[in-house]
Amino acid sequence: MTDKGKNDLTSKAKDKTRGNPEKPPYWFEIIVSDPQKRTGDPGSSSGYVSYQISTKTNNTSFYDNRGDPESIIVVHRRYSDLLLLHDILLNRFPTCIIPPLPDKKVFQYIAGDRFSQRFTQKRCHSLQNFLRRVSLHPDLSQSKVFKTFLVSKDWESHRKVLQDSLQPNKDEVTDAFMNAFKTVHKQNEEFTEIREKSDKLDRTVTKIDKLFHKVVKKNDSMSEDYTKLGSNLQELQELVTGENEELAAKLKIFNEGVTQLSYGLQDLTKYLDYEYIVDLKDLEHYIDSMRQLIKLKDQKQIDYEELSDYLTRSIKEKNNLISGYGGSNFFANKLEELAGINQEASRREKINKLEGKITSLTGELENAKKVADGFEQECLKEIDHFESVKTAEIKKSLGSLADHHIEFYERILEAWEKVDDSL
Amino acid sequence: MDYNIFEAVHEQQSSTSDMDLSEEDNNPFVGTHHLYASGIGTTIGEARPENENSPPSSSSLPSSPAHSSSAGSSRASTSSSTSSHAVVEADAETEPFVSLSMSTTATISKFTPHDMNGTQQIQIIDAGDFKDPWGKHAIGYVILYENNKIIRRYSEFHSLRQSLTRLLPTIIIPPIPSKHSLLKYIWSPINAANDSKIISTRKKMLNSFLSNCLNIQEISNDIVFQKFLNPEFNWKDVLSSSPIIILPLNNLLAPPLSPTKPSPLHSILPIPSNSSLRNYNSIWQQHITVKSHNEISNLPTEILQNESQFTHIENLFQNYKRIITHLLKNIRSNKSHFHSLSTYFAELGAYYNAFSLENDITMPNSLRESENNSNNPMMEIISHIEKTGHSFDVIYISSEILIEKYTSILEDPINELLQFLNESFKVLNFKKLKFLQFKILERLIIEKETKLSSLTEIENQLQKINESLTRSTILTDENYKDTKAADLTFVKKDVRSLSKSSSNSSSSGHQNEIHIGASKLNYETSTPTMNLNKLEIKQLTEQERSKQIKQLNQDLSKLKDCLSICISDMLEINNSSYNSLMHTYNHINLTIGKILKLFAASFKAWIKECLKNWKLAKLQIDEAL
Repeated sequence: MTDKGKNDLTSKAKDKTRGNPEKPPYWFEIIVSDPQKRTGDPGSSSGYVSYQISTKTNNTSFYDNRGDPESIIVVHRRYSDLLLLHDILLNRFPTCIIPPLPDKKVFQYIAGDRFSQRFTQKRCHSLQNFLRRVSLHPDLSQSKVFKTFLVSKDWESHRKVLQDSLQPNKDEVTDAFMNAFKTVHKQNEEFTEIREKSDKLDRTVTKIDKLFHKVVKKNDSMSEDYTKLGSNLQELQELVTGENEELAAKLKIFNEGVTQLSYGLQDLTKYLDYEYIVDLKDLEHYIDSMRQLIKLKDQKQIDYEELSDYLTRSIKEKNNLISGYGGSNFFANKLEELAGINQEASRREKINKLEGKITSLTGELENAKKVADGFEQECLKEIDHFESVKTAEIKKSLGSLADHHIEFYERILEAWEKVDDSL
Repeated sequence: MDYNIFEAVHEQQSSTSDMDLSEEDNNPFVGTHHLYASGIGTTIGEARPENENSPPSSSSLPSSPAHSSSAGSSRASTSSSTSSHAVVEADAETEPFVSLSMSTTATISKFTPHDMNGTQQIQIIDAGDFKDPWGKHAIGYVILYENNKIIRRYSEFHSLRQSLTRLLPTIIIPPIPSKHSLLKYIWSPINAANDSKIISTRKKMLNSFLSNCLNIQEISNDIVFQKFLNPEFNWKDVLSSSPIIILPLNNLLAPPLSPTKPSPLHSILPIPSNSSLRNYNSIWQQHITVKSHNEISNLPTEILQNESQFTHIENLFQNYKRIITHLLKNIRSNKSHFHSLSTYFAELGAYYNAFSLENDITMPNSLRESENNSNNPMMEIISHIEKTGHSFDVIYISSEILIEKYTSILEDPINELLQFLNESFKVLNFKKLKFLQFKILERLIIEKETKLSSLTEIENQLQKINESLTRSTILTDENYKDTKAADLTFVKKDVRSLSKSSSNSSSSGHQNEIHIGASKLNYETSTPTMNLNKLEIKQLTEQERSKQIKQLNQDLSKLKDCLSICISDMLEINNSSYNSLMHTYNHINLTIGKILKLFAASFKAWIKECLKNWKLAKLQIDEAL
């Protein structure tokens, strides 16, 4: 934990009130679009996909305080650039829930369809979700790296600097590893509840996500059915033409309805596949990121608890030494006595040592307590923020889900009303 | 008359209560028996206006309140506790079925064909368990016709149909749903849900069958059909009485329009084998291209002209069959896809419900109950998610209804069309067989004529020879006669038996089996037989020759009579079956049009229902923003 981080924690943690998370001072409108295949560097054999990122904001510093604030800033970035942004944010804001990026999708790389429209469109939507989440965060949205990422025309040079600055935090890794099997003794009830609920929510969202996958697949076969049905009707219409013009006309009208249905269903399915499922997946990942933060918080808590254990032991030992023979150290003392060591002198020395240790431990414990509490506070604040972003996102994605369904049904209703009227 | 319908109805009504207890498994109307019981119980006078007053548009009425109430109840049960997903699904699965069965009964009146005046002449108003006169339980279908209620069983419909096909071979008899295969019974033993589904389908299709029959004059005028619709007649007695028991074994051996009144000559007509149908086209082509000199082969121009119409309609029907078979296959696969989609919707509905309850992860449980959800965005989102879940619930229910309509509007009627087409091919085949019968007769006549002509020729030659011989010297005459006699006796023994049996069978023809064999043989291996005949002829004695000639002349006159009967049959068949084919053709086209119309209407209703719901959901989501 850096000093800066600590200061942030202590200062910010106090003035936050629960349930009313801080809003970022500026608004952003970020659109990720137009994925394009680019041929890679001369060195690397395969190409990459470049995404167009268009930003609009009321933060005038993004326009270098000049230029039209209404204009749109357009840059082109690739997935690995976003990954870099993500990692830097993760590194610099350890107490924040860093919005997740879409999976690397190694399989698609192997299968070679990472340039397919389906893949890039889905990723496009997911990257947009990522950037929007960052832009909604009060701290992340004001970070320098975020601004650079969104506006810089000279990203290549920035990238190298940023990559170098990104040193993996080894301590954290080992800490995390060592504490992997330890659990917090005194867990805040609130967190227990949050964890349980987020697990449940995650399961539900995953289930819905899976169901939509199935729906998409079924919709595909349905629209295939309708195409086949259409060709059957077409055949029938051709057969009837010349024999029964009235029926032929009816079949033609009906077939138009079926065709519209097939197209409409395809469009709806595309939306579900490219956007809604991506939203659900991103929500799952977001919940995951939040859990990661709670884990990190737990580690701080464990640090503190370990330290406090150690301190209690040291104080106990000191007290034993002061009060003469400590029960547990009796044999050790006896041995030392036999060895001819000056008991009194070594005892005093030990007490002194322990006292020094206790003082430093008390100081450290205080510090650790501060860090853990601060982290906890920050964590709760982050979770509140997460909650509000999540709520807004769900609202938005449900709205668009409803919109697309309405659009689909309106479209086919129009087509079928025509069919019904003409028959 | 040994069976009173109303007694039975009464009996059934009074016994419904204990039947429910004792035979719950077999009673298909578990849960809905009150509806049926009261329906049967009402007198005719009360029942009729009830049926007439229900307009087709009302079909959506009984179903829609049912949805909202079932949806509402499932909603209520879920919002009370999180752990009741199972309850929701169970609700969603059972509730719609009740409303479905109600809505399908309502659509029957909508779909069944109407006659010219637009009023329904015939209707199956009920189907259910009844006791037949022998005390056996069976599923009876209550037909309402001309103010009479007639109860008939499926097997009786089946035998009626079978009798009709024999009575009216030139008419396309409307199809009825096919029998269950025994295998199906083994796979899915009778259970209430399955049975009631089969029964309701049968009820609908049998209704359609009766209406279709009434629209066909030949059938509606038929005495057997009229007896079927007359409660005075016991069907078993009808089956074992006059017109049916005197039907010929094969309709080719009877006049096509009145098979119960065969002329003596009909019974000696040859019967072409069904396998020869395969060669029909080439035989026909041969017949019209190869100009035989025999005037016997000349068919009336009417038949020749009609043939192209028949070929046209047959090709048309073949194409219909091909396309409709594919169509049906696709509809079935679409239906099953739709069905699994709708189950996903049901699951989604349930999970969105869960989602709405689990969404807020920071709010303590204690807070949730107490807090007023007016201003908290997190409480609002709960209702949005729930609303979305509700949309999926509603889509599931209305999709299930639509899927049910897939069966009643698309699958069953299209299947019926296919059966109609197959029946048409049977009638076409009958017409073809008649022609093949004609060809056999023609062949026989030609054979006999050639035989006769060669016999008479030899007779003439012999006469000439005899004349010239009597005029020439006696010496040479004696020599010649000796050699001739020796010649004849020498060969006679070898050929005698063969020629006798062959001539017997081909000329007499009173025994059908032998006849078929002989005619077939003659038909296919005509040339060697002819040669043999010529050979035979030369080796016959004078008496035998004259006997043969006499016989042949007799046969020929008989055969020619047969031929003329056959030709008049052909004319009758052509006229009658062409009319029936055209009737069927029109019926098919009308039905296709009707199917399209009905499907479009119910599909539109489905879209509207879904759209309405999503709009409602959207409205609530927007209001909060």
